[in-house]
Amino acid sequence: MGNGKVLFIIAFMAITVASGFISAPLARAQDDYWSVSAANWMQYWHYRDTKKDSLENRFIVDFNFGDFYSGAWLEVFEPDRPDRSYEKITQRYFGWNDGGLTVHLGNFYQVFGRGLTLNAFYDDAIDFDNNLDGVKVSGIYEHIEFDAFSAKGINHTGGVEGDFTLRGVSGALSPVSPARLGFSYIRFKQNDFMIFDESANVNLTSFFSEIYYGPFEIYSEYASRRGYDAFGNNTDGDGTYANVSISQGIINLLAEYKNYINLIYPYPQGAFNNPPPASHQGRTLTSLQGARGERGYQLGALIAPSFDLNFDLSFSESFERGGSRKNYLSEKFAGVRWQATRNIIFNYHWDRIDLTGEDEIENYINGYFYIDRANTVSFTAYTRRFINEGDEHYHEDYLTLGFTRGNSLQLNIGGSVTSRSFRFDPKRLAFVELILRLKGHELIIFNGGERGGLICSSGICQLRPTFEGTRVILFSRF
Amino acid sequence: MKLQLFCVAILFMFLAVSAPGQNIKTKMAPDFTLPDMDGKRVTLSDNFGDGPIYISFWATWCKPCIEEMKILERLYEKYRDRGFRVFAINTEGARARGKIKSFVKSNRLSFDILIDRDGEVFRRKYKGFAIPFSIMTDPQGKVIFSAVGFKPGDEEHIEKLILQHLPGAEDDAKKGGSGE
Repeated sequence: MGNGKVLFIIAFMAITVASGFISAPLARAQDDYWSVSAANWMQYWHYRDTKKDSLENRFIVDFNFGDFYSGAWLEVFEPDRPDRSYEKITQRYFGWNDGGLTVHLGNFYQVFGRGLTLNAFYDDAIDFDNNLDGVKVSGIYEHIEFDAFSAKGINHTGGVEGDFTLRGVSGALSPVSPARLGFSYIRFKQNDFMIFDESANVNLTSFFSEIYYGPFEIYSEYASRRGYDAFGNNTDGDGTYANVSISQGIINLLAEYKNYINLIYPYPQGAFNNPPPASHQGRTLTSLQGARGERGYQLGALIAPSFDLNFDLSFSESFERGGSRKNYLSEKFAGVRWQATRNIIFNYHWDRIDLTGEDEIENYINGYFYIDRANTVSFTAYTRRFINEGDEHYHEDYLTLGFTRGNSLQLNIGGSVTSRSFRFDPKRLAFVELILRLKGHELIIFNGGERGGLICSSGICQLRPTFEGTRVILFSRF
Repeated sequence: MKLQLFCVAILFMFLAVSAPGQNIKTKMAPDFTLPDMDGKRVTLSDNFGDGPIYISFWATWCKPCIEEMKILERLYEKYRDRGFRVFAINTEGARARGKIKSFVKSNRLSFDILIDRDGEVFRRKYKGFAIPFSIMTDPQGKVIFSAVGFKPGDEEHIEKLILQHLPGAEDDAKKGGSGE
């Protein structure tokens, strides 16, 4: 980072601090009619091997004036590669809300149904953000609800960038209280497609129904896709998702089914739609192996003899649809949460994932001991064993010990060991982490090594690299 | 040098924003309308006027959230007749509804479970960054408590606040009663 950039960031922080001071008296002065709120999120990394550093800062401010609201996200990104740095307003929005009706201009997130036609969301954990930028009108009333929008698709994930236009409408009707019927329609256009793009112009339609009746809940959705690629070739597809849950006494059963092909647009990584993963860890063949389609199911049971003892069981399988390889993903999960005494809590799970090319078995245990009202000690230990296609066996073992004092101080020390040399990652890593919380502020200081790996959420997976160095995270809410 | 400069800036910021008076407690809780587990719409401001309201953001995978749920169920059962309300807002979204319903039914939770469909309430309105994240309001909707994290023992402070803000609490205090 250059000195100019450092000064810019410090100036930015000074503005943030000033905003904090300003917002407090404003907040005190507010009544029901208007208010101001703000948050600042900052991450700083110093990489031990390259001696380089990187910084990301996001300042979010929101204003409410009676029925009107507005807000903006100001972001500074200074990575270790200077050519990728920026300082800009990444989101801004303005809207009006009067009871059930909302008119929104600017950036927003939106999910239609269970996401078969649209799943625009944000998740820091997997570095996923595919917000929409345009105009949206939403209405929520007793028996009817609707959303309609026209927007540019802003995709920050996996290096996927493009000129995307999305228009959509969704509506649902509840003629009687336990039932709900709905539809959604999306028109997607990519204006700057490249030869490998398969979603130059796509229309998606879905119909869904929900029934809540006593111990039963049933949801089903069918979606169809009509479209063509950059050469005018047909890329039609379809998708089905259904889930049923039944509660009886201490036992609750859950079943999920998914079946889709050529549904996702524009790409598996960073897609604007995505059927639910129907697996315990949220993994999918589309995200892990680029499958064009999947057919699969999940069966689960949650058994709770008391609040102090919960058993969680799950089995899922999915098979690739289309494509030349017949990829396969299955997961078996068994977990227990047990509060042995008022002061001692254990969580344990065993998770086996069989994926084409590599199998993974995880054993995880975590415990808390509340010494007294102020002090808590905890531990987390888990091991992952991997068996890959070449019958190579290796493992990763993790241990973290923690001490928490009140809600304001937490100290963690931990480490990990692996039997495999992956790229240039060390076989042994250790870290110390200090977390301080004060009112609406949280400061996390991490020093040492953190092993990378696959993280998945909602059917999207990212491979997080190993980190060695110092990391500082500060989150403040004003 | 840059790192030291940076750390000084961080420390300055942390101390500055933590100064007395910079506290969420001075604010009204942002209003929201969200669907409950049966699809019924619940608006926060429609519930002002009765008693204190506890808003908790949670997820089925979050272990401390489950500890908090257990305590909330006990407090809700104890004070619901005196106007105390609990809104437990799940942050996993509509796609995880089946899992959420399983958890709620099997643990026999009786307070309102709401679904934050697209994270608008958790992230934009309440500026949430970690769960469990809890806010309690007085009967008029003013924030009287907020916390990130939960552990057994916290319920003593929460119950004390509930008792202070239940309808008739001032009369109870004058009489020298505990309010229970």
